[in-house]
Amino acid sequence: MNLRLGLLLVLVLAQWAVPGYLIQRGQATLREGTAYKFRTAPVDPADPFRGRYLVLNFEAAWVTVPAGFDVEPRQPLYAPIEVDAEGFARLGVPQKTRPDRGDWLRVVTGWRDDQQRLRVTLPFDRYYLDENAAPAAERLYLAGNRRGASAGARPTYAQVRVREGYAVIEDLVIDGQPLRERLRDGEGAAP
Amino acid sequence: MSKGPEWLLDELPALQAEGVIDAATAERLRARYAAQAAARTPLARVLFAALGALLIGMGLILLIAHNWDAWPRALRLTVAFLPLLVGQGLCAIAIVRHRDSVAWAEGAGLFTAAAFAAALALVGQIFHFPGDLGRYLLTCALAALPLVYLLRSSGVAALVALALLGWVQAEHWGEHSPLWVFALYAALVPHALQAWRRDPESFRAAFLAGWLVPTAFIALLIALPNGLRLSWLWFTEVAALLWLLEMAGPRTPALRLRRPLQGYGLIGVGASGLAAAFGDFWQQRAWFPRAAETTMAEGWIVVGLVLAAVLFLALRSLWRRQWLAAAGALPALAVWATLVFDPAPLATPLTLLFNAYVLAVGLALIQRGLAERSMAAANTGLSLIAMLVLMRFFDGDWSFTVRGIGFVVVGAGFLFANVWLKRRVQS
Repeated sequence: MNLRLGLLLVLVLAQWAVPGYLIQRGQATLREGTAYKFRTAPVDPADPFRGRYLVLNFEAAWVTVPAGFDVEPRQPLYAPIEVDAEGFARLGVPQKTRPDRGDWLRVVTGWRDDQQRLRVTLPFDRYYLDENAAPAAERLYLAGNRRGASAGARPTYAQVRVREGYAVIEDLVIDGQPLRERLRDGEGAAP
Repeated sequence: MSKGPEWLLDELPALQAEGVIDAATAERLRARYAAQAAARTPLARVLFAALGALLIGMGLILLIAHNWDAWPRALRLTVAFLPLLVGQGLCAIAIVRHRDSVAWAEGAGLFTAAAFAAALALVGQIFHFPGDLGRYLLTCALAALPLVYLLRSSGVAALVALALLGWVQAEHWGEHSPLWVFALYAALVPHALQAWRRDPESFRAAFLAGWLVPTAFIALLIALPNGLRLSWLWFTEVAALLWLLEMAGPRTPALRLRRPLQGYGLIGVGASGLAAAFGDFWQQRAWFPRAAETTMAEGWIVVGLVLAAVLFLALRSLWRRQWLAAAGALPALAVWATLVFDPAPLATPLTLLFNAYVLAVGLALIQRGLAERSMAAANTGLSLIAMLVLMRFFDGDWSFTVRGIGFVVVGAGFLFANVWLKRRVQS
């Protein structure tokens, strides 16, 4: 019995250590990570275990690569993070080793639409929300998208904190305003 | 409505009141069947405890999936981790105070496994983890696996097997390590063997065999690279393995709920033989193995290990002159042989061989059924032959009229044969 109890104690520690480590890593990234803005377009599906979320289709997932850039599909690589003139994040040419300087993300190679553009999978692709809020968020995005940039619509982006290659989405900004603030104000309710 | 002894015990007062039986008879019947009814209760209690714990755990996952966004992060984490703490406490109580209670072990184990899954889901939700369902299910399975042995919980074993299947299914095709999948399922085997050794006819043994074998089989079928080429090897040799394991016993296997492996083995070898009785089976170009790669090599190791077990058991059966048992390995060995020669030019003789093979196995099962007075075994052989005849109708180029008459004749023959077999078995 004592042996079984001892083994149970080891299991209890392991069962707390796994989520504990994930929480510590997430909190440290949110606290100390560098903030980047990734342009995105959200849509609203559901996960059987974790609930409703917004799938985030990031512009940064398309990377411009030089001619002759040769990689296998589904190959893990390291992509340096760069910031464009408008202040939005984009990824540099992915490489097999971690960049010596600056922030980077671990990406997985996908397909190419031509010789110069490579699709990669980013280590963040969804934003979880209250099951009632997720459809409202999608409606807000679609409303801004219909208005268009010429009619004064502002960009939609995810604010992402990055620390040592690990990334956590801090906030989602739809049409220039933080999503949670807009939802608190009752925007995006079903007509 | 209650069944069996419970039903009879419920009926006794009415039977006595109506004068069907007297008081003394009612008392004797009560004494006779009360013990049986009591012996049956634990299974119901175990099932209720397991189902209750599982439903509560799934309810927790759904509540967390709602995403209580407005609550502070610390409060959400506390609420999510509280059930895990409670579950772990219940596990400790089950070990210390209720060592012999299967209901406690199953209930505490299933609840803790579900509570861990809920807690991990919430962490993923808070930090917006990417959609890696496979890794999530694998983590849940690995965290629950020790509970199988600490609590001797078969419910958790079934849950782990299901989570592993979900993991394999969720991963990208061709990215699994077949050896890793094989090893993880193998980790559940000692628990199933322990239950089987205690009582091969028990509900626990039947449940574990009936659940673990198909989940492991499907998971490895998905995990094997270059599926089309390896899938038939895998299918035929697993069927042969189960057939050989069960045929080595004292009685001829038949389709029985309490011995699911018998059923799987019979169906698997029957399906292998029937598939090999079609010409198209031998003319597939997909037999030839692809160039070597790591996962391909691992796939060959897994199917090679099972082949070694099949060969050992088949040779042992031949040594013991158990011809019917050894015959179960033939489809698997024929499929393996096609890796060293192109079977397409030999499709016709191979088709004829396997038509004769299915017929011979069917007749042998009928003969064994008659010898052992086992209607189930005789019917299994009869069903195999009927399937062979019906398949030939689908394979042939005959008109609908001829096929219609053929179906009627086979159906009538099946009924007559069944009555004849029943009389033979009873006499």
